[in-house]
Amino acid sequence: MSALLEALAKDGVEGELVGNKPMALPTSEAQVQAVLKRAHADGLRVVPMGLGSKLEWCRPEYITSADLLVSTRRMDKIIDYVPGDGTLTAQAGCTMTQLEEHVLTGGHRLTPAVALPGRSTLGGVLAAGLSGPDRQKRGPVRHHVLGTRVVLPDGTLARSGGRLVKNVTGYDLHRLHTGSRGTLCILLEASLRLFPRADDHTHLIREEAELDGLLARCVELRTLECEPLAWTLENHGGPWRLHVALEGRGRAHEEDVRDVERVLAPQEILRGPQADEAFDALRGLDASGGWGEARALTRTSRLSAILRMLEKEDGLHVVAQMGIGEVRLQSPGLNEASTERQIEQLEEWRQRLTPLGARLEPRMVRAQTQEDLAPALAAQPALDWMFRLQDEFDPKAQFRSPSFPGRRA
Amino acid sequence: MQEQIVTQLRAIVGPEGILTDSTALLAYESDGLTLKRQRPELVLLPRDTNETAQCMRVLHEHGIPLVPRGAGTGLSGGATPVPNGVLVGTARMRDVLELNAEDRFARVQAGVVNVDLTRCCDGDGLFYAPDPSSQMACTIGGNVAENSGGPHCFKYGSTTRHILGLVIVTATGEVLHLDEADVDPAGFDLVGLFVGSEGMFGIATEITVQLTPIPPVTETLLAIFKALDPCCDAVSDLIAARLEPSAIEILDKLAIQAVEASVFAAGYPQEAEAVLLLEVEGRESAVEDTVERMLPILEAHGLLEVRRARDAGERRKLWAGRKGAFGAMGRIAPDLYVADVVVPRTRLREIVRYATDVCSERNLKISNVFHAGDGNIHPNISYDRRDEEEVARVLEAGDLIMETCIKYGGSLSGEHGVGLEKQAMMSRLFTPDDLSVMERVRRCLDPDGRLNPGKMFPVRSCKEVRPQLAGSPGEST
Repeated sequence: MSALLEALAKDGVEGELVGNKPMALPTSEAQVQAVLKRAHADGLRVVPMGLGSKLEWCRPEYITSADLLVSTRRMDKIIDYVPGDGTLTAQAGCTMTQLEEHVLTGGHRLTPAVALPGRSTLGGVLAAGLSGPDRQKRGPVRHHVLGTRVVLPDGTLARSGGRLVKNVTGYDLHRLHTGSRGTLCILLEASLRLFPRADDHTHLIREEAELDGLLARCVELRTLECEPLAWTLENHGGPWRLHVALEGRGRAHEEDVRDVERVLAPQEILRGPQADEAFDALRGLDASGGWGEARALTRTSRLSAILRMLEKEDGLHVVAQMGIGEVRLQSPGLNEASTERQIEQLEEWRQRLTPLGARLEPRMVRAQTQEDLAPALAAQPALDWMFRLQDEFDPKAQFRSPSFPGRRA
Repeated sequence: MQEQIVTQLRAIVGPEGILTDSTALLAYESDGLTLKRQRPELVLLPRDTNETAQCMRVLHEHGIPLVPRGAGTGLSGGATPVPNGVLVGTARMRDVLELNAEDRFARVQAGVVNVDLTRCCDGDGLFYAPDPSSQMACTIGGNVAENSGGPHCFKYGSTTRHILGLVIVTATGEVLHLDEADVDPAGFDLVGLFVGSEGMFGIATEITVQLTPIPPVTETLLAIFKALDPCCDAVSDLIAARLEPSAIEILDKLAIQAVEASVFAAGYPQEAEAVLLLEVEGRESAVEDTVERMLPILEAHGLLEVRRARDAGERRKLWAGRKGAFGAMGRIAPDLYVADVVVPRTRLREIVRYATDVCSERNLKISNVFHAGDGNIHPNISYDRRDEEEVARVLEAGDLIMETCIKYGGSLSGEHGVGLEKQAMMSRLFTPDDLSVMERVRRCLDPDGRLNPGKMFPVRSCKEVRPQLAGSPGEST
């Protein structure tokens, strides 16, 4: 037991060692505040986390540079689910599975449909700004966070937004918190907008050896009246597979299915529970499985050119969200490769993707790789504003990442 | 203001871009919240980002506070000038800079009028979804500052969900490009933070907006009720049944009568106590299905009759009545206090009843026109601002309605913003720490506090009174 954990125990906060890292496991807001006040007084470097499923790419430096991990996994109460209002408020440590199952009882769905929902907490998902394949229909998660309660590095508790589907009172600080990767605060609680659960689900899949045929079908799919739940093109070493997931009700849903079927000419049409399983498998593609990974972000009109370029690359696995403009590149063994090799690979991708109008975001790579590449990859025009916000809320740089939102000069 | 500064500014924007004449400045004394007035020292109307940045640098150099303004249609006093301050308007920034139908976005200058944007992309089968009632006049820049809503935000969401990028001119005159129409923010979501910041972080001069495909079929229904309470209950039940129309709006009897007596007459039945204006969009079969499922719910709450718009002309007329309702209320009294509060959608009936009772008890004329589907109500109190005693009763009623909303788990504003109107109530909704954190964010982005000073935050102690801004709206000295 580390001295730090012993000290925290005196404050009533339990903890454990993860490797040689002390991890605090607070069970209440007051305990999180107590932990952070102590860390603030001692100037400890803190990495917030849930169950840790996204730390590898969100905050890879935690392995070497954090003094203290603070997990909200034991704050797992559902505070308020109002089926008549279509809203949910829950503590950050609730797993996505827990929340999905809970709101299903009232006929609702939750977004994002993330990979590994049982190993992902609400706080972790929001801090990572994660999306799932359902983003095609529902939009990014940041659009559906109605409010948050957070603790700042100095232990201050603050709230933004509320539990209402429409609300413009005060600044939308919850938009700032979502996707901030735990570099500004620890999320304690969030309220989300929910979506009606559809009666019918259908999942259509077409497989082809060549990419071009599927891209042509994508162009036509985009002109249809229907609004797919997910629309994903993927390649994992074999043929290309195009998935269209539809949800709806009755006759309108059947018409959607017929329209997509006409354009896609699918080899597989899955319905009901089989469709749900196929959709879950699609969510699962977002789990990297420990591979080196990057995201290319672009406009949808540029996807075809990018995919054609990537098609020529041996051994590369690709998952593209066709209606959104996101391509995930997975390269076997890259996460195990040396820093130099990772930088070389990512630089090569960047040089090829940038002229095609895509921005590259590294994921499952070493902390040093992220840090070294940050100036090139995160050449954001507003870094000065971001750093000012960090300096205001984290003057002792306790929560700071060496690579996100960018590297300081 | 020193003549030397005026000369500097005139050299930047030209004679057409600066107003100093006291008669011309009269029009800028207030926005839609006419209770609060302050004549600006001068009005600047830059033509583009570059001119705005140059003006901001001059104002920064001389420590002059400023208030950004779109069309001045805001209802919370967000664009009310400050003493010894300058008003920077976007009225001459009216160009659509880029329309990309394939990727469904447009890049526009901040002064583009909301409805003009939709007209511009209509030929490509696209529209801009946020549709405030003032959309014939309000600007996209103003919509960004206030995170504006509108009837169809029930389905499509408020402005913030439709903004992809911004070009911002900061308080010091720097130009910040956040305008790549990208999937996710690179770093913190500064665009999301900026939208709804009520002109306190900078001036958005160029805005990249998401466009939405025009739905293949639109059905507009007018459901007529014999009482307001069951009409509200019907809405709560539609939400609970997880039906998804694109708009759910209520007008009560006084609002109906005002509309029908005005140029916006839409054929609303004047004998009805309340009407529900519903719109359903999508493919034909989906629209039919939703309407079929809605009707039994409406009938269970005393529906008298339902009318369907037979064509686009009838639909336009029904919506013109709804969107013209605030203007039509000028027939009831010379002034109108438009409250804007939100409650959970399960509490709709209670808050509407409470607002009606509070006004009745104070002998005030209240009409209700509101976004029922979002729980966003607008109790409209008609009054005469020359009657000071009546003004006091109006403000008291407004405060009581806001307090009760908070008690019901609601909030102070659904789409109009806080501005001057609600700043005193902010400390009822937020803790001192909550407000302090917001103020710290503001200080990061505008350290001198020159952008729209004296708005949003309640004055809680002497330390917040900045000497250079003494006397600004909302401050007590």
